[in-house]
Amino acid sequence: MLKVNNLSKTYSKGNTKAVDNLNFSVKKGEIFGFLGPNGAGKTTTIKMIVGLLKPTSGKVIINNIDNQRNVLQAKRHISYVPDKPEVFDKLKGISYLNFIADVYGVKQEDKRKRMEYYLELFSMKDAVNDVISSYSHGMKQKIALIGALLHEPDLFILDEPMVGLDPKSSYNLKEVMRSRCEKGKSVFFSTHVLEVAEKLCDRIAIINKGKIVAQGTMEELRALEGEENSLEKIFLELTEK
Amino acid sequence: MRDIIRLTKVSLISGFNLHSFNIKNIRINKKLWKLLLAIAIIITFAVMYIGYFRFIDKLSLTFIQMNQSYYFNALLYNIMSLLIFIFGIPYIMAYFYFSKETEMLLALPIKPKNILVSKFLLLMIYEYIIVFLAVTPAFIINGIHQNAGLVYYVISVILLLIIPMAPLALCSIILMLVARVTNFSSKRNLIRGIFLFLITFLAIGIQIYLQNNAVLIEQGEFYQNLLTNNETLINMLGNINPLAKCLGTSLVSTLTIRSIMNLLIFIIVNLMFFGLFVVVGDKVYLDGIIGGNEVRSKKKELTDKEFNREINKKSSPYLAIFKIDFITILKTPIYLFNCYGAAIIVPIIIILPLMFGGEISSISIDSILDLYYVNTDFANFIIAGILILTCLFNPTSATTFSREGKYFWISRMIPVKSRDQIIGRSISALLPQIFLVIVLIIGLNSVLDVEIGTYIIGCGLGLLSSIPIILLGMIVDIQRPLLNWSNPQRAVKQNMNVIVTMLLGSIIVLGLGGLTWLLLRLMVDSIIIFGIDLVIILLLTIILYKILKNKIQVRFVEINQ
Repeated sequence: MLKVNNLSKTYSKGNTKAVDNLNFSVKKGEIFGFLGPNGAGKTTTIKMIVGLLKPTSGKVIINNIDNQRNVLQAKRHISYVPDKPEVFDKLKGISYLNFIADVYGVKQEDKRKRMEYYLELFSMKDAVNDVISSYSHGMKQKIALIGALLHEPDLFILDEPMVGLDPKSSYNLKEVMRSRCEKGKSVFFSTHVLEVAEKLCDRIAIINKGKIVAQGTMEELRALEGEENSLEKIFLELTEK
Repeated sequence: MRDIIRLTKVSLISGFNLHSFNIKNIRINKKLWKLLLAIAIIITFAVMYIGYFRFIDKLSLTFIQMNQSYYFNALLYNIMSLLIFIFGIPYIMAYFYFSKETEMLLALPIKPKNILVSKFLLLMIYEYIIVFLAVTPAFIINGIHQNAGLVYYVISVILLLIIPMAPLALCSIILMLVARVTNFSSKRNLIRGIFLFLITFLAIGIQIYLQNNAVLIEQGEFYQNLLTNNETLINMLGNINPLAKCLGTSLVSTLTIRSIMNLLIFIIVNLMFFGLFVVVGDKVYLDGIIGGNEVRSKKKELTDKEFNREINKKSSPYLAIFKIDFITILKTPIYLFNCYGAAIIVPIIIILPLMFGGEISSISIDSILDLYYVNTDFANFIIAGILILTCLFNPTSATTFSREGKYFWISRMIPVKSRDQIIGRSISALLPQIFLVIVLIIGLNSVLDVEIGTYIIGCGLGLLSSIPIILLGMIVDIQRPLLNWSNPQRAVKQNMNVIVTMLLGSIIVLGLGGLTWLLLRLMVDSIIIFGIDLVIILLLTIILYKILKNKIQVRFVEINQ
């Protein structure tokens, strides 16, 4: 589903390496967690995957499509929810969702079904007629999530999705992630909540100072550290070296 | 006081992006076209500024020859204060009420009055740039013509520092009261947008009314007065704007008790306006912001029927892009005022003097009728020219990407073809032009029998030639969009892309206008000229469209946001 090959991003004429030669892949039907301390390069990597940042070198292949060459085609297969849910705040929630459905060319019947389902699931039906500027942080996050799910993306990419969500919405989002994988779709997300990553992810990659320091299933990560450690301990071990 | 200085300093650093400014980063651009563009912009500004110098030089001499030497500085102040007032309206609204920093500042242990005063000082500093550029050469030239001594120039400096105070304070007071009153409404942004227009019309209307009343003197008596009394004109101006008279009579080549008194009056009245601003601000500013947060739009849940109706709405991608852009403009008073304001204000400025201008208006209408009937072809191309010029000065297309600011990631993420982005955004930029055409047709039909050629050449050519200007604006904006702002005013009013578009667009306008004028002089049939213009416009549109399409594809990936 997603292949990241030798991906690098440098700033200040090559003096600062934000992301250094990353290699990993996300398979179909897999939830892939991307962990790392603040400033490790998680958001930079995600932005390069979704096409919001041009890599200095390397490739991002989504469903066998190079996201630098066939930009529009690649975009049709993914959706992205950023860490800060900045959505057009002058619009009503319903207008934003209609806009997203229009630009992704979602069929009317599918739009109706999905909108009803996700609005109900995230308890947004009562607020959908309000202007987005009146929403709380969590509500903005939820409307961005619903918008991102309307076209049933093959690869669902989220940057710190649990921040700002109430426990019920957080639980529902995890359920949505799982159900997507059961349908053969994939989820790639970054998080600081190690407990969520441990329970939810099929595979995990840990990034530190722009480099992937470990990746694999929980068992593989434990084997790497040689103990029956929790993800928290493994994370601390790997990122404080 | 410390708070005020600290806040103003922080606002200045943020407003002018001073921390990003590093002398080491300044390097000669290696790309030739960028270097040429920079040189062209500098030369254009220099030529315009030299032209302004020469104009004020002649004007100053004319008034001295007319025995009205006091009048020049006073007239300049009158024009400047009106401009500061009118252009201050969106600035004040943006900095006082629509700036995202305000909410953050109000949470800090700083008196709201200090926040207000620091914002006022920041606006004063912005106004100084314009005042210094426009007024300083005028004061100096007038001083040289009058052989003025050092005292004249010292007084000039004092006056330059005070000039923006009264108009800015008066405008702020009015806007704070408006904001206070409108804050109770859930549609306060829309109402405030409408008020921005109303206050502008009112300011222009009052100025026109006062000017008309000021010249109601018998012609013979007027000329007699001009010769015998060197204060005839300044006295007339004093009836409209007493502060202008104070300034004119205080800035004289020889210091007198009267000039000192007038200087003191000018300073004291300006300080009184500022004091009134502080007092009113202290009472109403906070309520104008905080109260509004308590009034949320009425929660209106959708019934199943309404929900079904809403989700049944379907648009093609370009229409979806247009809708988002259009709604954002309509719901952001600063965008509405700056992007669509000219289309509403320009016809009013033309119509108001014609309606209320007394004798002057009848002369104007007669001259318009004469021009139209005697030389209809020429008039038709003039109409087209007016339409292109309004498009050139309209910032809608040159800020189309900048206006999205932090939401721009959505436009870059969605799988929308460049073609749809261009069409959608062009429609919202073309709307004020279409509105102008409608107003123009109605206006022309009410005073004369409009010929079919006027619709085709004047309106048709005017509208079509707006398209390459719009595309050019978008090219400039996508090349270097201003996305990092916390105040919508920065996206439109302090966006260099607007100026660059105007300068580059003026090449198109001058080229087309020059060619048309030449062909008209050569007595070429207007239909042929229309055809030639049309071919050029079509070619320009195709070329610029292709450049823009390519630019969008490249820049949507490259921009580092």
